[in-house]
Amino acid sequence: MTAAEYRTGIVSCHRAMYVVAMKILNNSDEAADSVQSCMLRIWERRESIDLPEDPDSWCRTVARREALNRLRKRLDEPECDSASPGESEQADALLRGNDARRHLLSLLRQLPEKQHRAAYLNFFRGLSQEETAEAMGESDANVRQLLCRARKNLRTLYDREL
Amino acid sequence: MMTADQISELHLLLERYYECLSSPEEEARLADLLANPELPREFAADAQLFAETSAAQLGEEEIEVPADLEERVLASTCGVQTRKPFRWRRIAAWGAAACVTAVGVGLLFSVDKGGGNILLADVQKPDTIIIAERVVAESPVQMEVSTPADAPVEKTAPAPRKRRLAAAAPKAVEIQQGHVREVTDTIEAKRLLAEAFALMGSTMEAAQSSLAVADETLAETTEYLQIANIILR
Repeated sequence: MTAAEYRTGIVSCHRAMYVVAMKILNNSDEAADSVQSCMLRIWERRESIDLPEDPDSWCRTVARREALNRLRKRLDEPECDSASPGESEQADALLRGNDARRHLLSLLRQLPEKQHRAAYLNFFRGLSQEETAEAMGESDANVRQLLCRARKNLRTLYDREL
Repeated sequence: MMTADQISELHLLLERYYECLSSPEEEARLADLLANPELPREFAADAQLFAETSAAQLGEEEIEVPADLEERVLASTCGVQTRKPFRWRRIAAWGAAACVTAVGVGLLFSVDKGGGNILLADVQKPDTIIIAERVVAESPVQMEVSTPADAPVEKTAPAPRKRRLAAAAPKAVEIQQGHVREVTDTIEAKRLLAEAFALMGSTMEAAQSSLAVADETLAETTEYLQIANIILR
């Protein structure tokens, strides 16, 4: 990949990459850092890689992997992610001016911690079951079980409110 | 009113959804069925749960991309190559000139007040040290200064830089005897430069190239010192 191809094909995808990173990380500074980090890696290795046929999808995949790695590292630090029970709603872009999300989160908080975290990553961050398992350091089967229970428990909580 | 088939389909899809077995296509179909305005009341909790969980993730329209992100990306990648290289050579040349000038000026005007002697430096080549004989003055006013021709001259053989630096320290015995004093301006300057380079240079290559520039500057400065010495005499 030449420098010109990098500029036209890859750098132009920075918006898509940022959106992917922001959805997963829910933090604008970290999302921007994540995109810059991806871009720098691509730039450094440009001579050994060809410009992909679909740069947009490729860049989104790269950004998603990077964001998931960052999220996993963050989850290793207890109470550091907004999925933890002590999150600050004021700082959460997800909750700003969105009552439905606030309501869902208040119900999630009534779940056991692991169910809460698995459901949060799945619903709010859009992680698949496999990605949630990877982020939480659990097996796929465990996470599937956690998500099943979380959905059923949530259904009971919604039912009680109606 | 929803048909019996639709309701049985809804039951089946919900069962798969709660078991986390539903595919994206099945969830899309589930969303259609739950959005039906004639949905029976028994599915109200399912409908609310499905609606809220489906809309929980940030939408693209909600995400504001920083205006300067592209600029930052370009600066941290392509910009790396367009940055001007650090000017080691110029800094080294100025540093060398400053050091040598300071040492030279200090040496020319240094006066041994106890003996009333002037200690002269005479450097003809950057790598050559000339030892000037100590000149004893009758009084601070009547000062005799030995000429380079009269003075015993001792030349050091060209040696590797490290060895020259090691030899830079004044010989204690000679100083104690009071006969001679080594004029070490070039060596001291080099030592100072070496220290400066050690601080400045992150690579040996850069430091060596800077030393080459410094040597050239030293040669020029030495000529000025010689002229100053002649004028003084």
